[in-house]
Amino acid sequence: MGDYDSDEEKSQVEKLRYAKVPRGMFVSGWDDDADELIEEDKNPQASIERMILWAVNENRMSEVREILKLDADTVNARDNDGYTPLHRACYNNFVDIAKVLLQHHANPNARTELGWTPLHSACKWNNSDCAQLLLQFGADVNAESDGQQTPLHITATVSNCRNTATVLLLNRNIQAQTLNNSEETAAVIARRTGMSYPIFEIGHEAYDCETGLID
Amino acid sequence: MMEWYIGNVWQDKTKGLSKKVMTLQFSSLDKPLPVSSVEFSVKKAPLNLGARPSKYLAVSGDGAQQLHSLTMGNATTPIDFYLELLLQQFLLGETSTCSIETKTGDIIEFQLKLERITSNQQVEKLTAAEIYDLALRYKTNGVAMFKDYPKFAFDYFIQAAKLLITYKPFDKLTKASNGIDGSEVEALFVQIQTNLAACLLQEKRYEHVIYHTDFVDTLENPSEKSVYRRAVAFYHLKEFEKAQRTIERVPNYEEKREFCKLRDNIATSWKNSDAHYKSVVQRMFS
Repeated sequence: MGDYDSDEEKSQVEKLRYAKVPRGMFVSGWDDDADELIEEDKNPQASIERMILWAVNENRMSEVREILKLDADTVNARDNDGYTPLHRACYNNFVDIAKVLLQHHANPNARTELGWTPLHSACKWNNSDCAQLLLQFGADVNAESDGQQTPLHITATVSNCRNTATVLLLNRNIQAQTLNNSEETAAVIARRTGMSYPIFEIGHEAYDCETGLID
Repeated sequence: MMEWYIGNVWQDKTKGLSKKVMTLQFSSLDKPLPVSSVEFSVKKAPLNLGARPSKYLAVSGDGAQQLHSLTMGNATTPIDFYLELLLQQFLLGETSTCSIETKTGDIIEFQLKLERITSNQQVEKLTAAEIYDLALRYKTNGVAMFKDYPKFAFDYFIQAAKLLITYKPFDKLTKASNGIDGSEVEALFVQIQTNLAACLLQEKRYEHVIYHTDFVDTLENPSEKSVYRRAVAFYHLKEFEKAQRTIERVPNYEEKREFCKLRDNIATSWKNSDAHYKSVVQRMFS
């Protein structure tokens, strides 16, 4: 049994609502990429939706569970860019929180304003644990964001993406030869980007195989 | 907590697979991965299985519920191969009605319960040595299935090749730091590609046979099988000169019946294609 299911129940939400949360606590650790910056929520207590988004980002399991118990619909909360709690769990690779969210029926194919799914988010940060989990629970391995970027395209932009590339390319449903809006396959991007490009050979059409219906 | 999951349906129409959740004793949100071992029970014996072989679905004499242990990646019949794929869609504690549709429209139906996941490994976390062992197992199973179920053998070889590629470039692997030497991995990869070439010839995917047998041009002593399969592919692609040059990689090829037959076919087709070309030229310029 996962440890996400074992903590004691208290009214964490009530504590949270009145907690004095120090400034700067909500800044994510990934501010090296201006395009991907998540906004800082200076007042997460303002609504229960903002609270769950904050709690996920801070890896606060018991608070996440408490909030979900209070209002199950918060599993589909969205920030201003359209990121859901599951997106946030996945770009942070908080697998246990992602499991709790999926258990509460989080949409594995929810879209941000730019059309990113949680799988895109996991791949951007080479979070193979979350990528694997999402694929087991219904994530579309071929989902295209704005710009027709699949999770594999996003993976290919990461210099050392061996683990997520492995997870995606070994998935039986992947269409690895898909072109993005620059008419590039993920393999072409990988060749330009970094050290993991030999793995993208898996996506070559010479490796296509379908067993189909049995006799 | 997981009430929404009851009645949930998973399908893979291309393979004719379907699964509907009947009950769930929820304990944790875990499903078996392609590298895992599980225990499952057959709750309802299969309908319409016919004479199709299966290690797990064969009906027991007294009709009692059967508990089975299964390690993924060991199936040697199509039914068991698809049973593994179905089980990978089960949550721990789930009972589901499963079905496998056949080419003739039969629906094989049975009910399974996933009782335990005894081990579950993320493939991207396996060491090079573990990947090698797994790829070798897939290759062995592929060889076992090749005669009766070539499509499934093909799938095993593809999965094996893909696994090895995750550790490319092979020349960086050493016994000391990776548990296996790159040359051993390379040798297995070449064997698997040679097997893939046989499958792809059956599928008439000649360009892909050429792709997988590129090593024939660079290896010092490529196997006869690999040379032959590459030459056959060139022959079907009407690249007769390349086909002939390829069979000449085997020094004593003229002593071998298969090679001689291929050489003769190449020669005849080459001549005919020349004659054909000449007649076209003649017509155009006469």
